[in-house]
Amino acid sequence: MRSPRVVVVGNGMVSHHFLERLYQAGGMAHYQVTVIGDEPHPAYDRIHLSSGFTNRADEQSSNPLALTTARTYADWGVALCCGVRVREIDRQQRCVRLADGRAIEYDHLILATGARAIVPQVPGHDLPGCYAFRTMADMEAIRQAVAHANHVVVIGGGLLGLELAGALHELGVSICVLQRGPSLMPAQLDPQAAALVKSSIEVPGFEVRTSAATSSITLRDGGGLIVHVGDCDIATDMVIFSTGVQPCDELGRGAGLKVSPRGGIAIDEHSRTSDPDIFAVGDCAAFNDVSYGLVAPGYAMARTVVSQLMGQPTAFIGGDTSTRLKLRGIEVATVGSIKQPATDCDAITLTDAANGVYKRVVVDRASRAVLGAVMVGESEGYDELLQLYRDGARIDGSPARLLLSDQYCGPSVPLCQTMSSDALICSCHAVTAGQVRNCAAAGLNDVASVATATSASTGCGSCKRLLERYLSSLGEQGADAGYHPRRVAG
Amino acid sequence: MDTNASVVDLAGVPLAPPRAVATTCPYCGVGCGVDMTLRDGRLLDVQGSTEHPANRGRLCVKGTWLHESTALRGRLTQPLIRGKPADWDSALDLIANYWRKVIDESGPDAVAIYGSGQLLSEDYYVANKLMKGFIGSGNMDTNSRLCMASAVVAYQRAFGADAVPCCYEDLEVTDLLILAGWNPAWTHPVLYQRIAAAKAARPELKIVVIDPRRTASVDIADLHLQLRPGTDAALFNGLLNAVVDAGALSHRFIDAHTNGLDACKTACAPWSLEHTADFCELPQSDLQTLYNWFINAPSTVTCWSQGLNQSTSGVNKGEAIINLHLATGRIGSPGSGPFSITGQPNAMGGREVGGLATQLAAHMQIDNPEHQALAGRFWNSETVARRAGYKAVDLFEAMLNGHVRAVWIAGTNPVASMPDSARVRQALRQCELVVVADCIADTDTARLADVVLPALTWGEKDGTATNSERCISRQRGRLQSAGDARPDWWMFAELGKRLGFGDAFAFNSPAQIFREHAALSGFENDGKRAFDIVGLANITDDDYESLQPVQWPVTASAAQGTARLFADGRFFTGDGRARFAIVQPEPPREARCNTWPLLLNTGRLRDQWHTMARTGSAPRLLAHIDRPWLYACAEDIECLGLVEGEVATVSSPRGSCLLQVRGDDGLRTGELFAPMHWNGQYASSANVGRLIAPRVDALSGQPELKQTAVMAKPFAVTTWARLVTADDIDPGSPDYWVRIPHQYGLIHDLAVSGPFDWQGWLTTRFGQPVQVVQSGSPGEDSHWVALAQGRVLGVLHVAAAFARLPAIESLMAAWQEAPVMAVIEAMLADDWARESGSADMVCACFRVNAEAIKAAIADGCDCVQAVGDRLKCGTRCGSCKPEINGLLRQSRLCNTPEGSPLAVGSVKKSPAAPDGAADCAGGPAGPVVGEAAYSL
Repeated sequence: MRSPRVVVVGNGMVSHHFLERLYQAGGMAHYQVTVIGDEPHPAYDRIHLSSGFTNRADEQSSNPLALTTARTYADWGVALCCGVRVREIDRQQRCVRLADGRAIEYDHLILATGARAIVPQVPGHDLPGCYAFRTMADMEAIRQAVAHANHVVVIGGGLLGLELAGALHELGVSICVLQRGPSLMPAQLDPQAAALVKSSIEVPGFEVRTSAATSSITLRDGGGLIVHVGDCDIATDMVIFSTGVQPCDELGRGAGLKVSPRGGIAIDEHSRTSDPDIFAVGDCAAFNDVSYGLVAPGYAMARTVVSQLMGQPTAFIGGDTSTRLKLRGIEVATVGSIKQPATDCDAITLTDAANGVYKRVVVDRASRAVLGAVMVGESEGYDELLQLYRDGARIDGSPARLLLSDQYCGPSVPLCQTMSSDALICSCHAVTAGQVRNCAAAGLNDVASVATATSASTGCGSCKRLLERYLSSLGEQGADAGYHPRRVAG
Repeated sequence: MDTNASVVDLAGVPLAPPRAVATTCPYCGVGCGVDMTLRDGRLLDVQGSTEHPANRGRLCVKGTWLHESTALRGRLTQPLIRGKPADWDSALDLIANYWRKVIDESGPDAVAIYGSGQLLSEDYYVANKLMKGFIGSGNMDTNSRLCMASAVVAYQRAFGADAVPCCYEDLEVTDLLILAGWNPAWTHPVLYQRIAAAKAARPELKIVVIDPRRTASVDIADLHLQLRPGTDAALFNGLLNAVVDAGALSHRFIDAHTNGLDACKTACAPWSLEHTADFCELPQSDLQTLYNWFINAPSTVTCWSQGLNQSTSGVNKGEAIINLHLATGRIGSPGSGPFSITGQPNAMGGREVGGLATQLAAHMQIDNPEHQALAGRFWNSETVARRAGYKAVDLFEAMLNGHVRAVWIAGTNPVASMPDSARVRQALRQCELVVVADCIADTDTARLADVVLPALTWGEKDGTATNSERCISRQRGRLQSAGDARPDWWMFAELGKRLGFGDAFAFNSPAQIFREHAALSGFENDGKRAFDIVGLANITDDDYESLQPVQWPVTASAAQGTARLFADGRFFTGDGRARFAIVQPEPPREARCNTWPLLLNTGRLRDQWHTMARTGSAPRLLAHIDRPWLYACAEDIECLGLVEGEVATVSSPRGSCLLQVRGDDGLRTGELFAPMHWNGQYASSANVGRLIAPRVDALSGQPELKQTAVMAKPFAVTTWARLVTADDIDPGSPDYWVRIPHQYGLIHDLAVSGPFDWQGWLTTRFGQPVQVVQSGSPGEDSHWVALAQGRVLGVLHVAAAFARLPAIESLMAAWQEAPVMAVIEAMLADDWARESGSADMVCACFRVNAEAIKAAIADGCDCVQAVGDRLKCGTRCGSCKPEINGLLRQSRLCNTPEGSPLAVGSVKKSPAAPDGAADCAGGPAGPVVGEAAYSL
């Protein structure tokens, strides 16, 4: 009997995660899998694309950002079509038609087409010297151009724009980040956190302007560009747009699949589109009208699809948007969402102006569950907060305890006693504390070995510190140390 | 207090047994005896001296808690020259050299001393001797100019001497007691208690309060005449006219002992009952009641105080009172006399040494050549002053125009207490050398000084003070002096020596100064001058040390002192006869108009003293009233668009103040009241002096502090904040703030108009980096905690309205929590009892607030004693009894179906007690009321 055909359109991080999980689940024995990507190379780590500027591969060695190779896919039995675009989905014929004229039939179609950079249509956005930043090709083009540049304007003060700007600044280029809105990283931070990030990252040669809407870009006499912002003209050598992404949902639209009003192919809790044979995962999908734009929810969707295909369906219940990163040396971490209606929740803020620290935690007034948190400058207590958030645990006493150090709260309980076995450590790869505990019991007690064994911390990387701390607390308490729910109230 | 001699310290070493030392209270003019209980130079407790004739064991709340105000915090401990520490020699040399230069260049009138009723007589004597006896200028004036200069002049004009005829006993034995412009329940609580006790014992004693405000003293009054402000002289003229009409003049006395009745009568003639009632805005029936009582009373004491003195026609008012007593011969006998009550503990002593610029010394007249010669002989000086110096208001004006180039200010804070304080500030900036001698480091005035000198304060300094009834009492110094602080007399003597008058200023002790002062009073006196204590001129050091309270004169014929003056009808005028005055009543100089339609009255509160330099640091004394309220009646509050609890801008042509508004139905419509105490260390802009015009009585030079035309408008507060800190902080820039020391921490209430970065403000208050934890969201109340090194340094609560702030009591209870996390959690929670604006500690001794008393009343406590039995309030010093009674009355009125009789009409006469049920002691019958519902 012919194996059912699984066709994956797109070969980004989520696509790769799907394939990896399907492979791990033994799915290749049951399905004939084809993956079609329009970029010339197989899946790579888009999240850390900025690191490619400073940590680039030489021509010989493999690309450090690569998540896989054609050989690996071949070994898994996955047919890989690189550098070719899918033109349309023919739901009647249950096939996808490629730009090169081929048609590939499917029984299950998985759309993982991702998102594309939005380039605002200001006059001059398409002049030579203007770039978008989304793909490896973008990165390469920028890398080559930067070699001849002294000054770069990055338009867009979101997470990616700032990471990009930081990476370029390390190459010795002067940077000016222009953020249209009043504060940086509006998707993750509240205005106070954003203001602190701004003041923390600004140094001579790294300028950040907020409420700076670009009206046009023009060529400068004698080379270079002029970015016009209000009454101000900024002379620069390059302009890079990092002004957000939009889901690549055209294939779904073209096929008449239901699309979210704000873009993205609408999916249900099983990542299914309006056509039961078609799934959508990652940035191209919209769950409850939300397109997450983050890898962890995409991975969760991918695992949901795997579970469907393997006959043990689990549901996707919404994306965990928690993030932890360092921006030009400044720790920035978020848990859940802090944008909650004030009437329903209690918010506690900690500010340590002298040390550039800002933290805020928001707790639901009725359920006393953590709804979200943000930390800038220092992220002590992040792991515990994240855990409480994921567990939906009830906070007894003031949420201030979640932000204050031991000298106010009394000694903290070792992590290994506060995390239950099914508590997630790595949300990208769904690695639980129990799995890590098993690794440790088996003698794998450093991050690298656990990462190799479980993939924990190899997704977005946010959990690397948690993993480290969990392992060390196991080391101190013994791997058989009991789990005792954290007592939040003193 | 533990007086057990076997008490041991923490190390188990037996402590020295506590010692009791008798001294005199440093606050008001009652001059109560205080027994200090000391151990190792520390003041453990104070008790009222049972032997002292002024108080016989009683103390008011300020006196009761004296030991809580002797902390060294805030004390000035070393001389400073332009802010830099200096030794005494450098500071005094600098001053002396500069004074010598100024005197050489511009004459002796270019230097001045501005003293205080807080100085002891010995301090005063040396200062006065230096200025008037040797430098040769009249420029020695004092802040007593602000409180009773008008009474001094009235006495001098009528009696030929500044001589108070009465004694306190007269208040108790009289038949009719008139209290005019005097609120003893708050300003002289011990006298009030004595009066209340007399009233309880002898209900037929009639008490009449004449005051535009219904004050706490009205509680014991049979009649309250709530007259139009400033019309007292008309009222007394009307009364004298009625006396004449009734044929009640004492012709025997008049003929034998007075001059000038006819002209006086003529001046009073137009003041018919109708005209007077109309002019004073009083019901004729109330006036008639007073007239009847006065005419029929065998004896009368008329007390007056700042309400009458602080006026551009203050002398007139005193004279109008004296006229009445001369006309009826009610003077010099028990229970009769015109009795001026002084505000300060030693205002009288200042008058005795001649500390006013219009006096020479020891009741000698400065412009009298015989007296000049006499003083010259006594002091062996050729340079005795020959004319009056600048009176307070003129003195600062003279600094402004450069006539006075150097000033020494001792024991007073004129920037806070003078009218038109902006101009006073400017004058001090203009003056070339400003010396301030004070016990407190940071005062509004010291901030403008070139040299500040640390003075001893109460408990440390030694000397004598004279109270309102001419009773000289010892203040004894037993406490360790603060740092390098010295007595004021020593400083003046050192200046005298450095100016080359060494022989005359070789003083070594207060006793030595006192002997000279006493000797001068008797020098060539022979009964010519009222002030004569020659009987004490040879007192030994030991006898001075143990000197018992004694009322002057003290002479060979009156070795034990003199309770009453003028018993023989002989006055100190040339012919020995008292003089009637012609009194033409004058309205306050500053008339209301459309721009300034309200009249601002100022005065003291029960638990504060002067500009708070001492009382402000005692948390217990701020518990009663913790901030400078602007009091107004409900009607005015509504008309002006004000909101109780919120801030109002009160302005006059000279400046403006920010004060929180509070309802007071004891005020007449269109009239406001604000306390005079708050200085720049305790509130952002509550110094009412800046509103008041420097207009003075032409004769006495006393400024009109009681009636200022003002406007009051809402101040648009966007956010309120209440900060509690463990340590002192500088509030910085918020528009409005008031500082409230509390027993558990320091409270600041703050308000701003417009956007304000509270977080940035809080973060920078502590002089060290802090973590700030905040709860609450934009648009809501928010709560903040500032942390460092494991400690809570401060907590801040921000809200949109004053009434949204956490109530102080619950806030301070939470602040006291332990451990630190409990404080943090309590502070960040949003479940506070909110500020009710009326949680005043009515009883500061036992910290019982109005809410608790109201609850006890509602629960059946129906008299002051019952409330006291339940809550202890009023059972220690008793200062709060009038207010407890007021709350009782309020509750009775609320329960009276007809509504509040007090709310009817502009004249608010105390209503009869609805029934006898609430009246423990049994009140007087008739149209009168004011139940003395407690015994003392």
